[in-house]
Amino acid sequence: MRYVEGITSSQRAATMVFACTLSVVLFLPADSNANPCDEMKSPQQSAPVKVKQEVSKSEFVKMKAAREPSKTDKVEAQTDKVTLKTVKSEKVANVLEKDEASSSEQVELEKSEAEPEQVVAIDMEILTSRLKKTSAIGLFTKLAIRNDVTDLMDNVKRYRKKSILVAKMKEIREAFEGLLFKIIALLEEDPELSRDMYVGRESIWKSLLEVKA
Amino acid sequence: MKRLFMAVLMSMVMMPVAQAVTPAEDIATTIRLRGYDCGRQVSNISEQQDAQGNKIVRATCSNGTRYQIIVTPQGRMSVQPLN
Repeated sequence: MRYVEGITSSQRAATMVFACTLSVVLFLPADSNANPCDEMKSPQQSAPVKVKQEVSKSEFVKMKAAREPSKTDKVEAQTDKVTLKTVKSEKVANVLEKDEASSSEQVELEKSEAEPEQVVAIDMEILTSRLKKTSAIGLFTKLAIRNDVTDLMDNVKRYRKKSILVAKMKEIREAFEGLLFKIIALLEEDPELSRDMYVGRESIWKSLLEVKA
Repeated sequence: MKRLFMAVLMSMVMMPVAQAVTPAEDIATTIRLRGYDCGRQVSNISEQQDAQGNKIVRATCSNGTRYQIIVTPQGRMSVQPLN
């Protein structure tokens, strides 16, 4: 009984819904384009049609107005494109400038490497005292180094006396570099002194050439 | 900042100081500086002084060759192989 009651109530609801929809459809005002016969109806019914036309016109105007900003949008888009192009061009220009700068830096580095090394000013007296006091090399080794340095200085003096120092410059330079790097290698246990000697090698060479007869 | 300072200080304190070279290594290095073949250390070291005041040091390299180092009073040094 309950089941039958449920069915009947649902049926009632369905019928009610159908009736409502039917009434809405029947009593809704029709479009002008939909059916020309609607014009035959009462003026009250035609008025909404006109309003609808007006509305459609306004809508058309709105559509036009809506279209017009699109033109401006196009212009803006064009300007944006122009700005984008300018930004891109600026970026490209910056990249090119950076490349040029880096290439110029590389060129400068190559030039600096090709140029003679700068003379680092060092105090020869302090360097010699450090070399004497260092415990990285023994007494006999220091004596041997002293002998080699003395021989090199004697050669410089002799060549200067004979006015052939310029001609023998290459030979002296080779002997000097051999001795210097030998000393640097011996100073394995004293890295600071070896580093200072390496850094100040040009100054040491300059002081060697300044040895007077 | 304090930690950085302490780290720098500790690194300076713990930096290895130049170690003293042993006489055996010193003599071997001197022989090598003169162009002779000798190992890192020598053995059988003997020192003496002659009448002219020259100091004579004799030592044997690892390859068995015995060398003689003569140091004059003026500080001139020479290395000679004995055998």
